[in-house]
This record gives sequence, C-alpha cells and structure tokens, in this order.
Amino acid sequence: MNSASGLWIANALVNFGVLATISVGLNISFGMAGILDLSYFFSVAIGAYFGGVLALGGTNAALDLNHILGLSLPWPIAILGGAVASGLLGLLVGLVALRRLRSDYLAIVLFAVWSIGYDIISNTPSLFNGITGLFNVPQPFGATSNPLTYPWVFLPIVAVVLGLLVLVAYALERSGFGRTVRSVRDDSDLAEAMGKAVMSVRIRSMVVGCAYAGVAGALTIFYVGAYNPSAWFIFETIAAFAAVLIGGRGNVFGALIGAFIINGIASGVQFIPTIAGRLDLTADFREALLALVLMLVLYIRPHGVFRERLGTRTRDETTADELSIESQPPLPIESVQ
Amino acid sequence: MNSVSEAPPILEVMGLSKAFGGVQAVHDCRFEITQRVTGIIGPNGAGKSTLIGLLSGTLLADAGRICFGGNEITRMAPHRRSQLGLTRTFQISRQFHTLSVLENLLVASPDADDRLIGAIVLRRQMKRRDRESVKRSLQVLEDVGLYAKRDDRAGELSGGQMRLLEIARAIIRQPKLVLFDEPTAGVNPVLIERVEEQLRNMAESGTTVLLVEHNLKVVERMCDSVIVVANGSVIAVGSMEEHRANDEVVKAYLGTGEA
Amino acid sequence: MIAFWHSLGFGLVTAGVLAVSSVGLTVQFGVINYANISYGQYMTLGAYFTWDLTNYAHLNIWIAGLLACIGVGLVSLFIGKAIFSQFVKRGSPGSHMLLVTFATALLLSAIYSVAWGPSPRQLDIHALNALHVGPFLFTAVQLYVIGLSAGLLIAMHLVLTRTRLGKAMRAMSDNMTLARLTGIPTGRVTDAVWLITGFLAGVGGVALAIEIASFDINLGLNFFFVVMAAVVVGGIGKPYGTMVGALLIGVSIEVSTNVIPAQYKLDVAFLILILILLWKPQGISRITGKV
Repeated sequence: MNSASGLWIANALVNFGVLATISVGLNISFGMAGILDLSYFFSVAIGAYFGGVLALGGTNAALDLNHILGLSLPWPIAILGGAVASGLLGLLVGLVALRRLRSDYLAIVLFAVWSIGYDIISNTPSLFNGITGLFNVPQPFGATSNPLTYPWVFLPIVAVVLGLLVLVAYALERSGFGRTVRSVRDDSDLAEAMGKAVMSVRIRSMVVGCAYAGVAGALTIFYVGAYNPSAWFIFETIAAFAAVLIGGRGNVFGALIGAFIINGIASGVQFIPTIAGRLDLTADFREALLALVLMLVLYIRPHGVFRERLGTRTRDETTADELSIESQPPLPIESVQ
Repeated sequence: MNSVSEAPPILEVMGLSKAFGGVQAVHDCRFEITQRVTGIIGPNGAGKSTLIGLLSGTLLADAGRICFGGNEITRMAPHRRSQLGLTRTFQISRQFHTLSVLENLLVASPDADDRLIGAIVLRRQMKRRDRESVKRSLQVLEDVGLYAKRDDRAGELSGGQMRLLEIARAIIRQPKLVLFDEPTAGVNPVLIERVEEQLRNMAESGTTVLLVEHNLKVVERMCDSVIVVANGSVIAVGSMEEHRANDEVVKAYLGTGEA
Repeated sequence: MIAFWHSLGFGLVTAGVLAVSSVGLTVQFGVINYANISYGQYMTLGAYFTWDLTNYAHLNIWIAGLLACIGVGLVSLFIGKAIFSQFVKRGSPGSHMLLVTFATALLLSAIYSVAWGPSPRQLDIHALNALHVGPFLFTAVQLYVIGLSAGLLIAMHLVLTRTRLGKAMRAMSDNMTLARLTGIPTGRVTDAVWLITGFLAGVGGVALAIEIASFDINLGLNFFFVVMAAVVVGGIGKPYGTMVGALLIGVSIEVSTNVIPAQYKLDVAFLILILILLWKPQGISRITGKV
C-alpha cells in the first residue's frame, strides 16, 4: 500500500470518527428521546467555534483574524469547552423549543434558532471572524508533525475520544436514565403518570446530544485547523439522520455501523469519474444519492438494521432461583378488546 | 387507630369545577375518600373522565381544591402528584411499547434512578440498585401472572396482558392511592377475576383504591362505598343497594339500561 | 419618516408574496398533516420555469408565469403521489415524513444544480417605473405583485368557502376521520390540494424572484422557513390566520430595517415566530377568532 492511499484511508477513518461521534450523539437525542433536532449541526458549529477560540491565542490583526476569548488553552480542554458550549446552547434551545414536541413546530423553531445564530455569527466578525471564519487554529501535535501525514497523527486522538464517548453512550443505554428517556419517548403522558418529569428528561437528552455534537465540531476544527460558516448544513444533517436510522434508532452499535455506511457512501462517491466541463457534478450526485439512501431506509426498514436494544435482560437461572419461582402456566391468549 | 375519631380522609375534593369551551364538565364536585376501596360510577357524560384528569393533574381545575394525604395538590403537576403517591391507570391500556415488560416495571418503580451523571459515574452503585429493583419487579410480575412475558416488548402483548401490566405498574409504585380508570373495560370474564384479585391484594396491602367503573357487578363485589356522579357533580354516596333505591340515581341512569 | 413609509410599502409587497406562499403551505399542511419541507423548492421551480419560458420560448411574462405555475402544480402532484403518499401508506410517523420531505428537498436541490447551475438569474419585468401612492413609493411591478397576491387570496377564499372542493379541504383539515366517514373522496381531494398549493407555491416563487431582482437555486430554501413561520404564527391549517401572520411578518421584516441592519431581515421573522410559539403555541387564530 503506497502512502497516498494510506493517507486516504487515514483521512476517511478520521471522517468516520467524527461522523460516528455525531451519530452516537444524535442517537441519544433523536434515537432514544425522539427529538427531531434539525439544528443539530448548529451545535456542531458552536463546538467547533468555541473549541477554536479557546485554543487560539489573542486576536491577530496582522492575519485579520478576529474572535472572542483566545485563551491559548491546550486542545483537550478546548474540546471539552466546545462540548460545554454546545451543551449550554442545547439547554437554552431546549427550554424554548421543547414545550411542544410536535415535530413540525420543533423543526421550525430549531431551524429558526440555527438561522438567527448563523446570521449573527456571519455578520459579527468580532465573534468568530464572520464569513471568513476561524483559521490558524493550533492543531494537536501540529507543530511537530509533517502536514502530509497529519491524518495518522490525528487518528489516535479521534479513536480515544470516540471510544470514551461510546462507553458513555453504552452506560446511558443500559441505565435507568436510558430507560426513562425511552419511556418518555414512547408515551410521555404515561411517563408523567409514573412520576417522570418529562421536560427535564427531554432537555437532558438534548443537552447530551448537543454536547456530543460539540465534541465532533471541536475535533473538526482541530483536524482542519480552520472552520467557517458553510451556507447550508442540509447535506450533513441528512447524513447524520440517515446514519442513525440505518443503524437502528436507539442502538449505540447501530449508530456506529450507520456512520460507517454513510461515511463509506459519502467518501466513495469521490471515485465516480468527473464529467468533462461539469466538475461540480460530484457534489450534486452525492447529495442526490444520500437523499435517496435516506428515503430508501425510511421506506424499506424504518427501524434500521439493528433493533433498539432492551436495556435490561433477566438472567433466567439465577433470578428465578433467588425468587424460588415456579413458572405459572402462561395466560390464555384472548382476542384484544 | 382511635375508635372515636376517624383517620383523616386520604383524598378530599372540595368545590371542584372545570369547563371546556362553554360546557361545564365538572361542577362544584365534592367528596372524601376514607374507605379502602371506593367506587365512582355514573352514566356516560357525567364528567368521570374529567374528574380523573383533575385528580391526576392532566387537567387544571377552574375552581375548587384537592387535598391528598394532607397536601394541597390542586395545582400540582402530574408527575409530582405521582411522586407523592397518587397513581392512576388509563382507560385504554397504555404501555411503553418498545420497552420490555420488565423494563415497564423498572421505569415505574419508585426507586427508579433517572440521574444522568449518576448513570455515567456511579455505574457499580446503579447496577446494585438495579438488581434490587429487578428482583422486586419480577416478584410483581409473578404475582400478576406476567413472569413468562418479562423480556417481551410491551407492545407485543395481548389486550388482557396489557391490562395486567397496567395493574403491575400500579402495584410496584406502592402508591398511597391508586385511581383505576375502568380496569375491566374490554377484558374477558376470565380475566376480570384476576383483575379483581389484584385490586383486592393492593387494597389489603394498604393502598387506597379508587375505582371508576361501568361494570356495576364488579363495583358491587369490590367496593366498600360507591360515589355516584352525574352532570358533573356528586349526587349520592353509599352502597349499591342504597343507590338502587335512590330515585335520583335511577333517574340519572335512566335510558342507559345499566342499573 | 419617509424611509418608514417606504419600508412599510416594501412590507406590503413582501407580505403579499408571503401570503400567497404561506396560504398554499398551510392548506397543504392542514390536509396532509405533516410539514412538507420541499415546498420551498416548488417556489424555486416556479421562478426557474418562468425564466426558461421567457428566455427560450420568448413568452410574455404573464403567460410564462401562468404556464410555469401550472407546471409546478403538476410537479407537486407527482411528488405527492409518487413519493410522499408511498410513505404515508406505509404508516410512517410524522417525524419520518418530515425527514422524507427534507430528503426530497435535498434531492431537488441536486437536480436544480445540475439542470440550471449555480449562477444567479434575473426575471426582467420592464415595468420598473416608480409610482407614488400616497406616502408610499412603489415600482409598477411591486403594485402588480400586491394586486396579484390580493387577487389570488380572494380566489382562494372563494374556493374554500363556495366550492365543494374547498369545503372538503376544510373538512379534511379539521378532522380527517370524520371527513372520511362522511364520504369525502380524500384521495382525489388530496390530489387537488397538491395541484392548487403547488400552483400557489409557484406563484410565490415567481413573485419573490421578481421582488428580489436576482435569484439562484437556493431561492426557495432560504425563503421556506419564513413561509413556515407565517404558517405557524397563523395556525397550521388556518388560511385566514396565516394571511394575518403573513401580513404581520412581511411588514415587520421590512419595517425592522429602519432599526436593524438589513442582513438580519429574515431573522426578524424567526424572532416573531419564537415569541408567538412561546405565547400562543396554537398560533394567533384563536385571537382573531377565525377558523
């Protein structure tokens, strides 16, 4: 394997790692809690921006790089800072938007937040350098690495971060919190009758999901060294939801598989030969393909590849013994109602 | 218990009123619950569902007061009332359909731990508590007859099994008062016996049972006292025998052929 | 002060464009019961079809616009039947439908990009003479837009109140189960809804393209959420509330430029949306008392 294709693989793996972070996070707020957060990528952006401005030094007039903060913090702290910022944003948005969970209302409010935020960021250079965006962000181990092999340097960082986040997600999946979140999603009125504070549960899920998005954003800005407001995140948003849906909503492992598949599609499309005179067709083809993939998944297998895992299972032998249970004859099956 | 003074009523409703868009569904409703098992009956449209909504907290009263176990709960949110020990079931069985039968109970269990941070950093402690919770839940499932279905998703149960799950969830909450909303509706006669058995067990273990029912035979078999609601107010309190002799009650039910 | 009146005039124009587009969306929304995020893309299509017809077929803009919007209605019908209803038949929940329409919007984006490319275009009207109407300052074309919008809204009102189709649409919007039970041919009515609301979207797109002078394939995408804001403010499925919402938002957007930098124009719409949702989640229809 020559170094060029090796580099390509390393880069694809880093992209997978970032998308997987996004997917696992979205699996918590959308997969488990059922919140259709269409502004998810705004959380990613906030994570990127705050991660960046925490790691950057003071504003650099010579380079025309204006921004707030600029505390020259080490990158692990900056990544954490990005996650916290996104989590806080999720909290604010949740307090406003999650009162009525009808998907349409939620989608429009979240988009509204995104749009306002995006416009403010683009038009206020002193925040995050406006349209130009942040650049010159100090990359982890960047000073000592060869830029040509940087993907290999960054890959372990992504692996460790993703690994930690996956462990947390697994812990949540199997916990009382996870059960409660899913119960609220299944029937919020019943959950309320069972003593659950529904709003609090939903907001906490949203905050966690957004924090994951923030980490993904921070990883992005540290990998690339720069970040600016792209016009639209529709493509990325579709990709994220597709990843969660393909893998199976409410399933951490499924979210990882889904991310792998979607990343594969998105990267693989590069290999379609460019048509002379219309070099930008690849981007359009990618968009169309992804849209079709999402629709296909929703049509053929809306529950995804993996079913939602039951958080708790009983180990028959031990527990039955402990209780000295003799199995009762099963209830007669009768017709419903 | 002191034989001279009675224990204070666990539930007191005073002057409760609620209107929907011009229709007065509940009007100056008042009653007390002091017995172990009390029934609430009344013809369709009497306001029973509204009353249940007001008691459980899904509806907020326009006027009046509700006191539960000495606490004023009139404007309290539903989940807080539930945490105080007032549990309800639903007329059409509801369940957490993607969760297993066991998980349905774990969620309902009063020691369910929802903490987010705790879930991440206190894993060993949580696992221990979970085991206790699982043991308790399995026992309840066994008592109710759903043990074999414990790992099945609740959405896959039959109608009668869902009804039993409702009851199991109520049992595990160890509530002070449970409001059963038509627990025998749509349940076949064989199962009605089992439902009654469970309700009796709950009452015997100290829970006050409030039973809203259409099936008057069940009410007669089970209830120490029966409240009759019509046109949004309480029109009579007593035994079924008394009610049958009561002209007003009979008139309220006239035409429904239920009495 | 003059600036205020001029901005108010602009506000009326924007309100007109918004009203036509949002009435289409709210009627559609009320009947199908999910949000069609690709609605904005229909608006884009109206503008581009019109442009193609005026430039390649050299048609007069009114005829071109009419044909174009009929075309959009047909596309809307096609997408509604060939794509959306397939998912509805499968019993997809609301959140899935939202994602499906979102994906369709993306698909259309890609198609537009291939078909028409990224460079901006203009719709030439040749009616840019300025006219003073009271304290307002309009161009002739802006007056056309206001007039056209008013006309279409009145037409829509007549359809909704005087025709069997309109009554059926309202019935389905209020209570689908009851509508089915009373024998309303819901399939055919839905087809008609796709056609009519697609047409309205097309008109909205053309009017918008004319108003903002130059447009590209993101025209509808950008404006869609403002349309959605008007729908939510007015009340989903409530055409009269939506008209009021459109007026409120359209005027606010333009008048706000007197105090806020113009780049934040559209955000004013979102701010209003958020405030209304916090205060009255059902929309303002309850206040106006109209259905």
